[in-house]
Amino acid sequence: MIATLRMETLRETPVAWLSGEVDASNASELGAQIMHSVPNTAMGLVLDLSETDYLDSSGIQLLFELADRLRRRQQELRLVVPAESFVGDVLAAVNFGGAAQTDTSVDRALAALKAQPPG
Amino acid sequence: MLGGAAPGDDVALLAFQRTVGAHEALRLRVATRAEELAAIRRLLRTWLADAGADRPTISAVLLASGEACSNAMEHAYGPSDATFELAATREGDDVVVTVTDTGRWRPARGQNRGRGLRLMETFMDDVDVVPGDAGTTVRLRRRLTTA
Repeated sequence: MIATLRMETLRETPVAWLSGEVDASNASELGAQIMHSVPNTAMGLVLDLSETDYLDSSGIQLLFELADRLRRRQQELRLVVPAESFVGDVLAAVNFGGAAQTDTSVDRALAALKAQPPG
Repeated sequence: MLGGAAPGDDVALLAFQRTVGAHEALRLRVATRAEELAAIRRLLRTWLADAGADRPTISAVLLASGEACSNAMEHAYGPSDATFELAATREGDDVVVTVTDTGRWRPARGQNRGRGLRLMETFMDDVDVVPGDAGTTVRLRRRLTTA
């Protein structure tokens, strides 16, 4: 296992912590696991990438698909990415900002989800 | 171990030469299975750290090399028994990684591959894709900054 996924519900919102490395060997499975854990009733999903050491174009594809699938269900994806991190650099390189908002902590992401219900 | 469906990623690194000296090349022959990507990163990370590379250099080279390797895996004709080669060398102040496969270069199909090329170009100083009759070589170059 090169990545570990932990899911929890905080303030009625699913939160996923993805640690380790994401590449073509595990991106699809991780994406399916994450998507499966988001109930229709949730406002959205917070995905914490603070402990994600490596993320390649397969991982980026996962994130774009996740954002898209949630959007179609009137739900919002919010990423937690530390400032000046490798993952932040990768996301910036592919202009991921247009697909999902990014926060620097889970608390902030949860607060933002509550403050801005989608739809 | 040749040609077998070996499950462990280390097992399928078919050839591996590495010496401790920072100026020695790292040469790998790798089976075209996505599970090998993590093993390639481990070996490349160690080689770069031995060369004194700082974290941004290591992260950038691992990502760009990983994208080139993913391309090589997609180019493979056979479902499981094809291999490609990766070489990492020092050229002056630079690190140069070449990834050579035996398939034809395919233009980016869909956004995913397009992003792979963009990541290579963003994180490296120079990216060359050289299509040939026998295969495709991706050559990545970046200044090696030290910690």
